[in-house]
Parts: sequence; structure tokens; C-alpha cells
Amino acid sequence: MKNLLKIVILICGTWLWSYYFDWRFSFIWSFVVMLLVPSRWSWVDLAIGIFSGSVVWLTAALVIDGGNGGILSTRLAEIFGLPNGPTLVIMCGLVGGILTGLGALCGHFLNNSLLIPNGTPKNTV
Amino acid sequence: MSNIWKFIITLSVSIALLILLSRNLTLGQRSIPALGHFINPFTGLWTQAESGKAGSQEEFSSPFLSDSVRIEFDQRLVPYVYASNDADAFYAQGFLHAKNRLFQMELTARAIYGRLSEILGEETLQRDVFARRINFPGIIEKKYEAWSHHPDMMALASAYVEGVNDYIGSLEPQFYPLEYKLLNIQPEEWSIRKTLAVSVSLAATLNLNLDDFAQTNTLWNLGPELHHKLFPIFPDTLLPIDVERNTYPDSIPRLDSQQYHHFEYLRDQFPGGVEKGIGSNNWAVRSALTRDSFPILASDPHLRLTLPNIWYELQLRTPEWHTHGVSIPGMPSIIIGFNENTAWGLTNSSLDVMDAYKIKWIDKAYGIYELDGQDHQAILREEVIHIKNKPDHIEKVYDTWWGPVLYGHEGEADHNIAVKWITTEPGESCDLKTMWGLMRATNLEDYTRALEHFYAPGQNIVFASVDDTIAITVQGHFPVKKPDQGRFILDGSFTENDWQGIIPQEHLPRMVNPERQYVISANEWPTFPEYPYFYSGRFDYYRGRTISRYLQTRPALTVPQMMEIQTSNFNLKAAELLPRMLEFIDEDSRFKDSLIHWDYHYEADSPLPTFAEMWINECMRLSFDEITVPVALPRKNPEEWRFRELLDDPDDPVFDIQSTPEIRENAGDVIREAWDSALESFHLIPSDQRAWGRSHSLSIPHLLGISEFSHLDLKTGGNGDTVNATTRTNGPSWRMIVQMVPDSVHAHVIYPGGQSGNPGSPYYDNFISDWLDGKYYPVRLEQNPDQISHSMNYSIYLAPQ
Repeated sequence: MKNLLKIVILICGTWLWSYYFDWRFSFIWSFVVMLLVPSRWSWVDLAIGIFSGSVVWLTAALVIDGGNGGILSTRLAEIFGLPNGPTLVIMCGLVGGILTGLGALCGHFLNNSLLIPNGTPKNTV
Repeated sequence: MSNIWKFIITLSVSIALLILLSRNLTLGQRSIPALGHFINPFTGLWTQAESGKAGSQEEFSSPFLSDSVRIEFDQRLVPYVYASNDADAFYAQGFLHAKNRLFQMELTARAIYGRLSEILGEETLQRDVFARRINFPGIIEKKYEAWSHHPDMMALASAYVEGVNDYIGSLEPQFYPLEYKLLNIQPEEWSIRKTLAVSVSLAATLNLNLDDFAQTNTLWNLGPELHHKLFPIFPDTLLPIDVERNTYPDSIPRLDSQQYHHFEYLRDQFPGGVEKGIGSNNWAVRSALTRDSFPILASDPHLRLTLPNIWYELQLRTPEWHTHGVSIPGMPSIIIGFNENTAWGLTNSSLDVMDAYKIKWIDKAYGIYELDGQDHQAILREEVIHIKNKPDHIEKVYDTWWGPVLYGHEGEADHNIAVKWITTEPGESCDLKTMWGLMRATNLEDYTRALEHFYAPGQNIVFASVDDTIAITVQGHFPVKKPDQGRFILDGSFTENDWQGIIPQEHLPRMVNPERQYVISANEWPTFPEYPYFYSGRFDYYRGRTISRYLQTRPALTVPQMMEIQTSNFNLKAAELLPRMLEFIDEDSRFKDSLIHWDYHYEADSPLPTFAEMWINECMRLSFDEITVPVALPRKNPEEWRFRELLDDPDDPVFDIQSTPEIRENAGDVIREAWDSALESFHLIPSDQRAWGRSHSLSIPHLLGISEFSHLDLKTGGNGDTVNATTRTNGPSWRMIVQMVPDSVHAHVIYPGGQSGNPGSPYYDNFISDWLDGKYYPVRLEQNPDQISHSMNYSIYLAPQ
């Protein structure tokens, strides 16, 4: 349940930061969230981060691309040397996911490095 | 591994990735903006992925507006602007231009100001150097001064500029046009001077004629006698724009010919060159020749085709006038169009209005040159050109009595050529007043009055009205010259080589309701040779005559027939040359038969035009092998019509091939040798590549040359000689046919592009396939904004604040 809540928080934050501020805030946001409320396992936080960022960027790209009939993504895919428009959409989702995933992992490890010696995080969920 | 190390490693990887995503990248030869920002779906490239506008409504308010303006769009994204006064209408036009073509406007203004390198880097430095040397910015200042004599027009221009700037001001960075993001730049504020820059760019495209360089190289290569023979100013038979001679004055003094024989030092070889293929057609027919008994006007300007297209279509309505047509982004007004009573179209007049003068330096280091035996001081201009990611380039230019020294800076051959260009002398002319006058013209008098303010680039302006009046005027400022003056580079050390004045307005070639019931212009000679003012230029021999043939042979003209004419690929050059050339070919073959029975239509899927062009070119090469100007230098080749004329005497010495002094060839020998050679080359082309549409395919590139935003290798018919004058780079940039029905003037139009300048919009290139297929879109003057034909139900409301 807590993980689900973190996903919701990450999705909302990533959307807000990406929309109103700089895309790099997505990284910082997931970093902060996982620093404050890390999971027991790093791979869980990584997965939550990747999933949340990907969902936001991929969904947004898909909705926009669908409304546009793939006109722009097809043209830009050629510029980036990608085979087609959908690949660019997927790449967009990947970048969003990697950004928030790495932010989450950093937050998780920083939290863990501030730990008691037996490796138990200060705040674990 | 301890957690602190895991953190450090992850953080390091993250920082590296963030840096990578924040930096511009290079893919091959291309620079890609920072990927993170660029593909962020909320602020990056995706914001340019437009969905359909149907059903949407936008509102905007401005303190500049005096009343509200309503804009409705049809399904092609053509706006219908309803305003209560002229200023508000022009404000709305500026707003729409900025909304749809902002980058195009900025790029055009930058090109004329010589500021492309600031955003595009060293690649465009030579273009900027040329713009600065010829002093386009100085011309803008002169035009600004000229327009200042017309406060009413300045007020309209200001309204337009406000519209542009209000749109730019409303634009959040994430919604900057795609090109701004690709180049990582911001839109600059618009101004009247930038509007003038756009008008100067039109003059630079249409009448910046540097033919003098090639002509001079060729003159010194051939000698005056042979040059005169190969390059007559007029053909033997001619169908000019003004066939009635009514405007030819009979009392002007004849001038002595320009003398060139003292100019031995002109034996230099000159740089420069000209672009072939810019041209246009327009014509109007009176009701007597049409089936429905209404006059019809047709206009199709041929220009370099780009994406977005040079034109932006719109309809403007105020309580006083109601006009539909095309405008040029960056300029207020409609350039070609129609209103409730009249219609007008433009073609380029093609007269030479730029002459080159060789400067005789006394002391070049100090800018002192000789003029009429005395020392004169040139003014040194230092032009600083900023270059992206490079140190500034300083260009030193001398401005002389004639004009700027175009060639002659350090590092180049010592040419020292100054140029004088009519566009630099606007006087008190205001071309906006002409366009504004035409937009609201109700009759011939209004048209005539509007034209008086137009000085450059010289245009053939055709007119038709619902009262069955048609007219054509060769309008502009054209210098009075001595015979042959300005064909070659002139001696700049004598002021007697200057122009002798400007041809008076009342002496400009013009026809109103001619006996033959139609008027035509297609970049041909404006007059017969007996017109008392000397002129030279680059004139087309075939298109106007082709149109005339069509109009004469069709008894009851209709709009569909006009469409057929505009899109006709019939090539009169081939029709006149090939039968004569085929007489010299003895062999019997199916291929020769197919040429004999060919209808001379340059259709995209036919291989015959490919061979015909190869054969004609080879004949020309062999016939005119006397011209030995080095390939690297500009030279003139005789026109095909001159070749046809020379064929009347097959034994003319010009046909003797220079490389075989022991044999005396005649025209037949040349044509047969060319046939064999062309046939051999033709068969070397793979059979699936021989079709004309393949061998001379058209490309419509994006303004920045980005291939993914371009349409390349389009199969088209026609060439520069056909009415459908489509070359590899140029073509009919706007086709318009207007039927002058009283109370219901309507038109059929199309251009190769789309209304939006955004490559991510469905309206970026949506007209191209229809344009290629020769289709048109019907348009009419829409009185009621709630009942637009083919409405998209997309509106913009501009309200006063």
C-alpha cells in the first residue's frame, strides 16, 4: 500500500515538475521521496522510480502523439536516427523512467548510508 | 560494498546522465539540442505535435485593438478575419503570421540583415557577408524613411507589428516553434524595419540581377561581333506584354549607345552568378472570351519552393473592403488576391535594374578612387558579423558614389566592382500603399492610383474587374539607359556612365481592354523593340506565347480550362525546335518516330522530355563551343530561341565545331553528332530512371534544409519553359483563378505547402499532394463568420483590453 502511495506521489510530482519547471526536477523529486521513505530493497525503489517516470513521460508522449497522428514523432525519429515514431515515444518513456529511477536509487542509497551499522535504514517502509 | 559507495556510484552515474541529457549533441553532421529538455513531453518537442483544431476557441486581448476581431478558420486552416477597421485587420494579420510562421519571418529578416551566422554558425557566413556588402540594412533604412512620408501606412504597419509582438509576448518558451528549440534560440521582437527587410528580400529574390558579370566574361571571350550575334536583345519574332504600343512615347530624345571598347582592363574574369528559373504567369480575359460571360483572371507566381511556403493565405474583411489572397509572412497586406470587385496578380518584370561599375582606385588603402578625373573618397563601413561559437567576422566595405563595392575585399581576386541597384532609391515610394490600394480597389482608377506608389521589384501587374475591365501594367522604377548600357560592367570612373533618369510612370508599358480581349505576362519582353527606352534583362520566350495560343484556340473559356492552362506541361520550345532538328536525322527508328509523333508535353512519366533536353543541350554545347570561359567562372550561353533562329542558315559558321579545324561542319553535322551523343547518354540511364519526373524531380526543402521536414524527389512534369514552370527547385508557388462574377466573385486556389509553419502540424504540408495532382480549392468571400464554407469551427477572438 505504501509503495502504491509512493508511486502516486512520484507520478504526481514528476508530472508537476516536468510540466511547470525543469525536467531535471523529476530526478530530484524521486531522490527526495526515496530519501525520506525508502523501501527495504533498493531494487524496489528503483522499480518504483522507473515505473513512475516512465508512466508519466510515456503516457504524455502517447497521448500527444496519438492526437497528432504520429506526424511529428515520425519526422523527429528520422532526425534521431530511430526507425519510426513509436520508437521515439518509447525512448521518451525510457528517459523519463531512467531519470526518476536513478533519482530513486540515489535517494535510497543515501538514506541507507546514513544508517545504523547493521544496515537497517533509519526509515523503512 | 558499503551503502555510501553505492550512493556515490549511483550519484556519479546520475550526474553523468544529467549532464549528457543537458548538453547539445552531434549526430553525424547535425547538432541535436539537449535531449532531456527536447524530449520532455511537457515542454520539449512534443508541444509542437499539434492535434486537430476543430471545435476549439481561443481568446486574446490587447490594449492596441480598438474593437474586437473575430477570426474563423476553414478546414485548410485558412483564416477569415472580421475586423471593424483597417488597423485591427492588420493587427490580426500580424498575430496570425506570428502564430503560424514566426520562424520563417525571423529567418527572412535575419538573412537580409546579414545575421544568419549568429544562429546558424559559419555555414551561412558568406550569405551574411553578401547581405552586408550590398548593404541590405542600409536599404531598409532608406525604405523606412520613404514610408515615413506616409503616416497612414506607418500606422497600419505599426498595427501589424503590434499583432506580431503581442503574439510573441504571449508565447511561453515551451511553445516556441520547433526550429527555435532545435537552434536553442528565442524569438526576437518584430519591428517595421524587419517588415521592410522582408520586402527587401523579395526585391533581392526577384531583381538582384548580377548577369553583368557573366555577360562581361562572355563578351571578352567572344569579342563584340560574335557576342552581338549570339546574344541579341530581342528575338526576330516577339509577342511582348504590351502588344498595342499605346504607351510608347514618340518625343523622347534618342541616346547614344554605351561604349565599352575602351575598357581593356575589364578583361578580368568576374565572380557572381544568377539563378535561373524564377518566373511567373498571369493573364486576364474579358467576358467576350468566356463561356459564362464573366472576366477571368489567373495568376501563378513561380518562386523557389520551400517548407513552409513563401505564402500565407487569408481573407480580411472590414466594413470598407473584403479581400482574399496570399500574404508574405512578415509583411502586412495581401500581395496577390481578389476582392468584391477586382482581382490582381503579379509577375516579375525581369528588367535589369542593377548595374556594375569597375572602380579605378587611386589609393585603395585609403579608399580614394577616380571619378571624372578627380579624387573621390569612398566611405569605409565596418560590418561586424557575429558567428555562433566563433569569433566575430569583420567585413570592411567601401561605399562609393555608385554604391557599395560588392567584390574586392581582402582574400578575393581584385575585382573592385561597385553596384548600383534601383531598390536602393525608393524616393518617397511606399509599396504598402500599392498593396493596400489593390486590396480595396473597386475599379480601374483605383488600380491605377495604387500602382503609382510601387517602385521595386518591378512587376507586371494584371487586373480584372467585375465591370469587364482588364489591364496590365509593367510597374516599377526602371532606369533610363543608353542602348546597351548596363549589359556589361561599366567604367566607374566616369559619371556619364550613370543612369539617365527613371522612365516616367506614363511611359511604362500598359494595356487596358486590348482588342484581342486578353492580357498576359509571363516574364517576357514588355514591349516591341521600337519602344524608345532601352532595356535588357532575362526574359522568357515561351510561356507567354503558349498561354496566348491556348487563349486564342479555345472559343469559350471556362475556369476548368484555365486550370488546364495553368497546369499545362506543353513545351513550346520543344515543339518549335524538335521538328526542325529531326529534319536532319536520317535514321529510321521507332525512337525517332515517337519523337515525331510526340505532343511535346513534358509529362512526369514520359522519357521523351529527358531525351529532348539532353539532345537540345548537346546541340547547344556543340554549336556554341566558341564560348570558352572557364567552367569555374560565370558565363552566358545563348538562349534556345537564338539557336532556333540560327538554324535558318544551317551553314552559319557558328555551327563549325572548333575542335575539328580540318572539317567545316554545318548545323546538320552538329545536330546528328548531338543526337548520337545524347542517345548514348540516354541509354546509360537505367530504364526506370528515364521518365522526366525521375530525371528532373522537384524538391521542396525545409527552410533550414532539414530533410525530415522536407519533401524531396517529387515526380513532376513541366520545366521552366512550360506554363507549369516546375524545375528541380522552383515552381508555381501559388495558383489562383478568379471568376469576376458581380456580387459573387470567387476563386480556385492552391499552393505547395500548408498554412502552418510547424513541421508537427497536420497543416504543414497538406496541400502538396493536391498541388502535384493539379487540384484546386474553391474559395469565396465569406460574408458571415457563422457560415464559413468548410468551416473547421475553430475561432480566435481578439478583444480590446
